[in-house]
Amino acid sequence: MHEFSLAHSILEITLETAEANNATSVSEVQCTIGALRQVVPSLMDTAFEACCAGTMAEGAKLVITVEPVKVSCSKCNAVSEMQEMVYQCPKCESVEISMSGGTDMIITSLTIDQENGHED
Amino acid sequence: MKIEVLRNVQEHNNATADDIRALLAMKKVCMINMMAGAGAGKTSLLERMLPRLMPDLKCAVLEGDITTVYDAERIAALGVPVAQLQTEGSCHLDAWLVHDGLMKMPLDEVDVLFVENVGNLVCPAEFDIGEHSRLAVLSVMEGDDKPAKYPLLFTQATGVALSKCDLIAHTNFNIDRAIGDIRKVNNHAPIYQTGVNCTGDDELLAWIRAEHTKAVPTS
Repeated sequence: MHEFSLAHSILEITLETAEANNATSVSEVQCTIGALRQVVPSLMDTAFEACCAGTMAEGAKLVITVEPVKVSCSKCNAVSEMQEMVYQCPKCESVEISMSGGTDMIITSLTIDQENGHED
Repeated sequence: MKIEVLRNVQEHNNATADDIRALLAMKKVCMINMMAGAGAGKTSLLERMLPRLMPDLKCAVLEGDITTVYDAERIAALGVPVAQLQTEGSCHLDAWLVHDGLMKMPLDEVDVLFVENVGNLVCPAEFDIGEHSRLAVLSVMEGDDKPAKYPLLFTQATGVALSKCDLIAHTNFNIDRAIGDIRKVNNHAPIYQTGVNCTGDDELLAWIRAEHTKAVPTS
């Protein structure tokens, strides 16, 4: 249930950024989260919704883009995206692989309404 | 309107973790974050290791638990400084909680500080607490499939202790499978087979001494 801690951190940065941009409300928060981060999207939605209640981000949609894990194969030298956490090269099925990426956790953008402005 | 942000979700936690690293560097303390599922034997491993390290390395322990002081009492019985961190329901330690715990420790008199994280194979791995090393512990009672099922913890480990290996004959734990799966996500962390009368205990102690030398090179 680390989703609640992460949702709280996402909200903190969202509110800081929104206030710095004179926002009156936040309608969408876009994040990139690595596949290795073990974040359950449905739990994350519930946690984020609960954290946002009573703030200017209440009702904001959380959009998560999953950053895949990259697999480098030492047998066929292919670099591929890992498929569903199967620890083998998707090209030649070798298990002689090394992994990279999949650990990002970044807020990429917000969609806000501003004073004297309109959401586009 | 859409505005670009590009900020790390965990930046506040990570900033506190950086503060902890600076404090530990100033105090010349090596911090080892022990992570494992509940019942893997983290406290038992500490009970075996601490008396063997203590003659020449001054150790202390931060005990992370959801509730109770049971583990802290076991460490205190060894005469080792210990502080209990109760997360009150949360399933992991974060940098703020560890920072609070550090304030209760006699850091001027500590060489190696062990942080026994909350027993959980998922959430603790998500949080940087300012540690120098991450020791993953997996008992043979839990099953050889756990490294593949919980890859992040093993991906980030700087050392791995397979625990209760003295009991392996009574389980269906396939040690080659477990080590093979750890190696798929982590090809650098040394893996020690520990348990009562297991040779891995000696090797793990040597690794801890080496981690201390690496973290505090001038000591």
